[in-house]
Amino acid sequence: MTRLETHGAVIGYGDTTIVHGVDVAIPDGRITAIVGPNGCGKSTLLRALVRLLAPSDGTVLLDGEDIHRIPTREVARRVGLLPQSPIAPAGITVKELVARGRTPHQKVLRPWTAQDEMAVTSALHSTSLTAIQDAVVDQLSGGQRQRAWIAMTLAQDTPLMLLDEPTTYLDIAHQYDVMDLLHHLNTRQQRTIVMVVHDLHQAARYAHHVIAMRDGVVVAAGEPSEVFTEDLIREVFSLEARVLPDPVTGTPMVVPAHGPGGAR
Amino acid sequence: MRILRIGPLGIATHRRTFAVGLIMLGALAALLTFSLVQGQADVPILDALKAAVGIPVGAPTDFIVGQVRAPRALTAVLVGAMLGLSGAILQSLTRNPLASPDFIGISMGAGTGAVLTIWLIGATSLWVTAAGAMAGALLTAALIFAIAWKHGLVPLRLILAGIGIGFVANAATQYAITRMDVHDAGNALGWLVGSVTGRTWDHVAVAAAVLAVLAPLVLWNARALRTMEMGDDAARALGIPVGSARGVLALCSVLVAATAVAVTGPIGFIALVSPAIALRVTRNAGVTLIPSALMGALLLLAADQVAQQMPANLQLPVGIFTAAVGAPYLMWLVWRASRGGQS
Repeated sequence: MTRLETHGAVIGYGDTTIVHGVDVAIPDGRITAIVGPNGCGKSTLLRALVRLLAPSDGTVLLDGEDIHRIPTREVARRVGLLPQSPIAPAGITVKELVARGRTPHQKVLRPWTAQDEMAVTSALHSTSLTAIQDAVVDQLSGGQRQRAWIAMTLAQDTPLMLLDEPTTYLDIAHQYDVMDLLHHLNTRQQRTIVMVVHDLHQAARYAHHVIAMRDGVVVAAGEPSEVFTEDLIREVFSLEARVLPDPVTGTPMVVPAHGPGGAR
Repeated sequence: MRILRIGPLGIATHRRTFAVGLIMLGALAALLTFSLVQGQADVPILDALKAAVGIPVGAPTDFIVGQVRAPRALTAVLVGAMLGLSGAILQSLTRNPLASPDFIGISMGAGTGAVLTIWLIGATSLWVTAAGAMAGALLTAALIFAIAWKHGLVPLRLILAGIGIGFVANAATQYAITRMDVHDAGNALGWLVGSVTGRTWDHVAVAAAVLAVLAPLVLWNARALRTMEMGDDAARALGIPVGSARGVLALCSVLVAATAVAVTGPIGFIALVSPAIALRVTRNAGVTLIPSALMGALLLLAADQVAQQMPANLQLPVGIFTAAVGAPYLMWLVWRASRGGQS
């Protein structure tokens, strides 16, 4: 089952085409990871999936309907996005930031309801931010700040959550902290999650479905064990690699085949 | 976050913002009363208030308060509010505390439009001058935005383009003045200083009418403005139609600033400092439109009162006064930015 899919989507900026006619289907209730080398179009695809970009050809379908025919606010009630570098207004507190996730549910003369309050409380709770909800976002650590942004996207209360490189700029412990949080949201709240990630190890551990892209086309899509093979890593990343089972989870672990300084 | 909800409208605001707003409103009422009572001839409060709303109390008071002090003070309040509002919108849209209509050339463009109108059509009516100022401001703004546009609005380019276009607009104004007849030129020069002296109920009507149309439009888009401060992608993902909201807000900001310039001439720094002070006193995160407008009204009215209290030979037009007070603030802002503090 899928609520979000593309058919032959050609996506770009102005005259530059970045994604050349891709068909993807985001499986419901699962975590999907989009991987690929820099500039392969994974973020561009993600932006098209949440209607930030219009395909010049082909379509993006949300619940079977052309996403560009659905009103902006309605899209924002079904699909949430955490962009790569959102800006926290100076002096905003965690709770205020999270409350902004309710924007698509509010109207000019009916701004705040008990339901809004509940969504914010629950988002703060799920991200373990309740204790620091009155802290100023600028003064948080990178990991906490990222959780606050995820909480904002959570408060938006959309069945589909898209995240653009949610772990970049975080140290390894905070990266896994964020990944565990996404896993938790997926299993306990049945949210469909789509994330663009660079770390193949994280993608293999946490995603149920992997979309591998190169040069604006989808090279492979499927379960991590189907996508992360030595041949595909070579094809997608031009890297000779060995794929071993992760000693902890048994999921595929991609290790470069050469030692330092070798193979070049 | 202490949220206050007001009745069936469900207007939610921070308690602190609401309290500070009430205090500013109270201060504004007090200052307004003071400005009606106080002057070269003091008038009893009750008489002053009656005369201001048009209830006759006696010949000199009816004129001094009803036709001189009241329109002057109300002009200061409305224009101050317009400048505060316009500055708040621009600073929020560009995420830059230096963006204000008097800095990025929009006020200069409005001035050029007004002066050209006086030159070509004559100072027939304030409504015509205001229309000229709006046309000038819109044209200037269009030019500035076109130059600053590069895959989106680049704040630094906007400010640089604005400063450049501002100089060009000023040059055009100067040229028009040299070509006018002496009487018109005198009027234009006097107006270009920026002052609320001698403003009439006509001025109040123009300012009130424009504000009555545009302020609700701005407030209707306040949530969009606040959300866009988080970046275009985040705002769009939250269901804000970024393109149209930004267009409407920028247009409102330009028109409001242009009207302010048409009514009083260019008065500097109010639009720059009011939003910043409003943010500081309300401790709000992000733009605060109503407090910024209230702060602008308060500042301009206060500045005009102080300017009036100066000894007769030192009485300055309020525009010069605000510039004298605003310049140090600007230097402080630059100094703080250069120290790497958040600006």
